[in-house]
Amino acid sequence: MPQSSATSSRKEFQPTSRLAPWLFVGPAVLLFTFALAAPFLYAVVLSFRGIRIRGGGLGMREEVAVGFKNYYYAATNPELWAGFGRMLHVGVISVPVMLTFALLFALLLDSPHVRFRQVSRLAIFTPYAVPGVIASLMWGFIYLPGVSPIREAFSASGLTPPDFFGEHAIFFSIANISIWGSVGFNMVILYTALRGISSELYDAARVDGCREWQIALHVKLPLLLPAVILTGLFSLVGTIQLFSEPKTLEPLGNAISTTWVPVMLVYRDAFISMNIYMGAATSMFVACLTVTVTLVVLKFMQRRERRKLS
Amino acid sequence: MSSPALRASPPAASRQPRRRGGFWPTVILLIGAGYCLLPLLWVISAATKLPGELFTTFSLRPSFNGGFWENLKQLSQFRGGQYWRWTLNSLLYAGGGAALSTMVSAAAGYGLAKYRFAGRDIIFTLLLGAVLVPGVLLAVPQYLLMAEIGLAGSYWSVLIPCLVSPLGIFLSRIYATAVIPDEMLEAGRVDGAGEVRIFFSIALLPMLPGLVTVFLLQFVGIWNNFLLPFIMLSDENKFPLTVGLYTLINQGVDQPGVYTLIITGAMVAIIPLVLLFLVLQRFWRLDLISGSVKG
Amino acid sequence: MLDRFPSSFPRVRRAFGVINFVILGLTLPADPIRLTYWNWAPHIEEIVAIWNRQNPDVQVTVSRAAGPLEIVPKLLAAHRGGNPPDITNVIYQDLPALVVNGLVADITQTSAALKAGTSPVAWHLVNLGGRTWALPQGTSPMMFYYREDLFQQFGLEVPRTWPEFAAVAKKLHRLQPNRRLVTFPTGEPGLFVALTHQLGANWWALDGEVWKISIATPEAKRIADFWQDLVRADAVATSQHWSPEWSGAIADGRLLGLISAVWAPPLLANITPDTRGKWNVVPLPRWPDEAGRHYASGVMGGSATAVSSKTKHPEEAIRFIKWITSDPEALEAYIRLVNIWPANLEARRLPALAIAPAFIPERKDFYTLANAIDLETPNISWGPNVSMTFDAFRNAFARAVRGRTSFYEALESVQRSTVRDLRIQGYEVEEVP
Repeated sequence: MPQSSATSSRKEFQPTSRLAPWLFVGPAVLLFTFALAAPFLYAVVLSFRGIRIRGGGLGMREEVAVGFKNYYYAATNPELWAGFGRMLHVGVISVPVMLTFALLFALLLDSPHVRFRQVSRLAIFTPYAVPGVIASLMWGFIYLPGVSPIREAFSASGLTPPDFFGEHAIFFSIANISIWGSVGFNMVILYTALRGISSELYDAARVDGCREWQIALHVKLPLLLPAVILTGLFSLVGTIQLFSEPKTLEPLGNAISTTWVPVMLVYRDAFISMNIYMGAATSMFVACLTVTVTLVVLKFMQRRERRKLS
Repeated sequence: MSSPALRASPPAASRQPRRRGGFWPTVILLIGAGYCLLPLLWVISAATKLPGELFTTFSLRPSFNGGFWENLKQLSQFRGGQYWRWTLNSLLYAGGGAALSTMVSAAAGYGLAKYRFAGRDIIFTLLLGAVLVPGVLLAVPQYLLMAEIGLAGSYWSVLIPCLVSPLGIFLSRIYATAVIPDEMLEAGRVDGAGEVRIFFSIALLPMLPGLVTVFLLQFVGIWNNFLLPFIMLSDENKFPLTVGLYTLINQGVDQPGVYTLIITGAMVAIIPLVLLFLVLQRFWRLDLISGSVKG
Repeated sequence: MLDRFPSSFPRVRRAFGVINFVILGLTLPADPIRLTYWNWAPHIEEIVAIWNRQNPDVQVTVSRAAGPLEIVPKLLAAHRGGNPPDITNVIYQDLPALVVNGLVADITQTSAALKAGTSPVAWHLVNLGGRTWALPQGTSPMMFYYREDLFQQFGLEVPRTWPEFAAVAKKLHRLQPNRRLVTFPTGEPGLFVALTHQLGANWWALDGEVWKISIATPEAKRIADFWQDLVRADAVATSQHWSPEWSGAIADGRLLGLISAVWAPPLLANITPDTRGKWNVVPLPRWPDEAGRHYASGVMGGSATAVSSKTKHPEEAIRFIKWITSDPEALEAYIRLVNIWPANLEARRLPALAIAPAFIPERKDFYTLANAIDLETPNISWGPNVSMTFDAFRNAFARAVRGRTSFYEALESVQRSTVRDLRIQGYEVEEVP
């Protein structure tokens, strides 16, 4: 946490009323409890229940406790693990590529003599304004055979058009939509971090005759590393929750199943198979994975900080 | 710690007339800009095509047969102006939701930053943990809870869950710590002002620039949100643009020229946010996010 | 009117005023009863407006809360949440799911009289376990639409049997490598199921308390092998119906045909208005050597109107669903605006059906054809987990198409998933080969 106030004023301070902080934090806590915590706990409860039939045929359905059955079915569902695998495949492509480009664009924006800086920055930031459903639809049109302008351009010049929905290409196609949507936002985060680096640190290097790219690599990049890792983490969490891109493209062809990534499996269980209980159990797996990954990355960052200080 | 708003020109000290130095960065950035703008150019060009032309002409070359205005007219008249109702709904959810959410985040961020009290760290950790839970998990339980209190399907059922933004609180806290020196608060207390009064008259003003960022982030987040309103709402007159367009995609097979309608609708839906960015560029204080990890 | 009375008769005026007030008070209720109706059909608001004009005491509001894919989960959520619609449109295949979840009202008593005037196929589809759960709106006799001009251009014969169909498909692909006859849409399980109905298959059957599942039957294998052969030979496309890719191919003439149902012409008109008049239509090809169970069409979609089990106004709601499924004025509007083939037998004689559809203007006998096909459709039934089965179908067949694996094995995996899903819930299931 940045410590901006001078150490002298960090004295132990007694608020005039013990209630004061709760006045400010209260609304957020209430809303959190009602809108986030309660539904979450309810979902946990649901994950231990299920619907069972009493009397066959058109018999009565009732909600009963089923212990860990839902978790058992979730854990033994090959689709869940296949989904994790596919999600990982997309993440391995999208996170590094997106970070590389966000970093590259940020560094380039920060280098001197760049023309059309404002235009480029705004254009690259614009995809952030597009909702995921719409972005996926637009890219879907650009990918689909028969309507894709890219494929048409390839055919017109006599080359075989790329199959965006191929066995291996599909991961790149989905990753591309992710990258397209978030590179601008992350670029701006990194760029503002860059602007926060005092220019004195590399003015000397410049005067000494260092080239811009050397400065970027040896001075700016190491200072940016924490920001890069943080944006990488958010990106990773986003990948684990990958949903709207494959969901929008799924009905358009044969390349994507309705359980292609874990969150799609949750949606399928909850809304298509009408089994909200299975959906809740599967979501827990996804949530646990997200928390684990986050803790691992944060621990890594903490250890790095400790090593730096020692 | 935080740098001034994004500057366009390089620092004067290194301004040397070496044109070559800027060539490749400029080119690469422009290629990046082109890649980012490609789908948007596509959607604008596709929106110029009449329904009969959409699938039979090259989509990146715009048509000039009056399709653009015809499509806009069709969109406008669709089910008696329903598209504009969706737009107003999006503005209500995003604008109203972000405004209220910013107030909640500002207060919470201030409280977490400037006071020491039991439970402060627990609250902060829980709030951050909320970011990690997939929205899909919460959607139906949120709906069921809303139904219990009779709010399901109303505007509030979409607004209330949007009011608490862990990221907004996180940013507010950082910003409050950064720009509000404790001495100012002490001075206020010495003068005998109540805590609430201190917040509104002393603390809020310096926080404003950061709060604009919080507002904008939340605005974009709510504007782009799909799953929550999709689950909560049954009355299509309350749908935001994302849900409206999605139902068009799914239900609209019987609609004449449905794909043209969807494409034109998508194009128009993107414009407000792009304009927002253009106009409010200088207020994006995203150094708050990066500042949280420095040092 | 009261103003015209001479002011010299104030007592008379007052008397009339009182009588007027009393009469109005007795005939008009203070507030109309308001019902909500979930439907996604185009122009449904205009049809409901007719009812609202004629029934000021019962006003119905349409809501497009859900499309065909989300109707069941949204209804479930609405019921749990306590604010379900009073009336809802439902596709036949989703009706059992609504019934087992207790979402729709049992209307056996009040609707018994309507059975005689309803198509037997449709009536069978709204009855489960001996009780009636909805009133049928329309049925969907299946047909094969094709580009007559392109058939003539390439010298193709209109197929009457499935082997002929395969031959035409392969011939077309040989003559014109970038064109196909039809697509095999893995995303439309309803089409495949309906094709198996032609050979007498019935995927779900309720026998007392036991659900009998017959998915991977020899009949279905025949259909699976047939389409697998065509897909492997690249003689049919693999795009999804109504997707941008498919729509582009239809508009371009790269796809020459469509296997669909009676309601397809206006949808085609939406996609390719310029080819109006170039299409023609015939019944589905048939299997030539089958004696016995052998039909002109299967059951592909079709919808019914049901009353919610939790409605506060069951009488008025039932009045409405009777009106919208059998009143001539309602059905005339429904036919004109939504293009259904009504389940109500009287309505099949309406003048709106005596003309050709706008997209295929030479076929003045279009609806006569539909009627004939409808008469040769089997009675089939659906089960409580149709959406889950269809989802398994989509994934299994998409994988089979991509990975060039056996369609029949995909079908077997669909049966396995269906049976497993039912057994986990506690149903008694028997697999019938």
